Parts: sequence; structure tokens; C-alpha cells
Amino acid sequence: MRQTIYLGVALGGGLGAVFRYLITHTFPYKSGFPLSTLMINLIGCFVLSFSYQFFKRYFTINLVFQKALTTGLIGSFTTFSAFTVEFAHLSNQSIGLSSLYIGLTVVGGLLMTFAGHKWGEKVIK
Amino acid sequence: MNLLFVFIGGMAGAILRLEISHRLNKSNQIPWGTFFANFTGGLLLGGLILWHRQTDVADWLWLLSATGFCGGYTTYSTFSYEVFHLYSQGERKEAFFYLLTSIGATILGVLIIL
Repeated sequence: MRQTIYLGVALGGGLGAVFRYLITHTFPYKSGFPLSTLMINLIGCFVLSFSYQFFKRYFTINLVFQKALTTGLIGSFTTFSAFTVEFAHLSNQSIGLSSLYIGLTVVGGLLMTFAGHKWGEKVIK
Repeated sequence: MNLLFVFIGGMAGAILRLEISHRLNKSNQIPWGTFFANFTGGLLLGGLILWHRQTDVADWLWLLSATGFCGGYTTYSTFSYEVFHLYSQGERKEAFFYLLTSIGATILGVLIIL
């Protein structure tokens, strides 16, 4: 079971990274604002939190699939390293833009997490 | 072909993150496993960027290590959920501490590297 979970998380993690790459590739970050990473992280926060709620009710859904989706796909889709590096980069150019970026990511991420949780509660009722 | 390198890097990163979280994260406490993965992954990406500035790194190697591995190894969604979860479990001080140290320590480290 444990090995199957690792395999599932690996496949999910690979896919999550590919989806992230496809989005950042379509909307590349040049010198303006790292909008694609922000979007990716906000969407991921919502989907992860929703999934946790959803699986609470539908716990019969295969555990390997649950882990592959949450820890693997969504975990890998969102990124902390790009966020911190982009912030550091941006802070050298503009204090305003970098503050906006960190604020939108942190507060927006928590709001999206909360929204996903609430929506999940509603759906499983 | 690009997608394959990103995929393999993402696989490796996600497995390592799972293993570290498995060992270090305890329920209803500050998840030091995620903290460790995000912190070291941020520093690694900073180091890779520094390396990229000094020499030409092949595209495939960048996709494998930076886009794939660092991206897959670190996670923002889990981090945000953990902050929310700690807070809603009444561990408010821990939630704020976790939020501030994760972001603060990683950014500080990256700023020192770059």
C-alpha cells in the first residue's frame, strides 16, 4: 500500500509540474508581475482545500487516488520556491509591486483555502 | 521532450516532499516537514538561478531541476492549508509563527544567495 501511494504521488507530482509548466510557458514572467505563479498558487489553494473536504465525505474513494491528487498533483502544481524567488527578484525592482505580490499570494491564498473549504462543506451536505 | 524533463523532476520532488512530510509532520503541530521542503527548495532554486547567471545551463537541465524538481518539491497549497488548519484548530499562535517563519526564513535565505 505504501509503495503504491508513493507511486501515485510521483505520477501526480509529475503531472502537476507539467500543468504548471504549461501555464507559465503560455504566460511567461518577463519583467512585469509574476501573474502566472500567483494564479497557479491561488487556484491550487482552492482545489486542495475543496478536495480535503470532498474526500472526508467520499472517503471510499481510493486512498492512492486521493494522495496522488492532493499531495502529488496539487502539491506539485503549486510552488513555494518560485514564489519566494520571484518576490526577492521583484523586491529589487519595486517595493510596491513586491508587497502587492506577497500580499496577494498570502492573503489571497488563505481566502481561497477558506473558500474551497466552505464550498466543499456545501457540496458534501 | 521538455514536458518529459519537467515530469521527471516533478516526480522526484513530490516523492522527496512526501517522504520528508511523512517523517517530520505531526498532526495539529507546526508541520516542520513542509517547512523544511519549502525552505530548502527555495534555497536550491536561488542557488540554481545564481548558477544560471554565471554559466549557461542547458535547457533540459533547467527544466529538470528548477521547473520540475524545485517546483514539485515545494508546495504553496499545502502550506496555505496547514496555516488555515492550525488556525481553525485553535493553534493560532502556531499558525502565525508557521506562516511568518516559512516565508521570512526562505525569502531571507534567497536574498542572501542572490
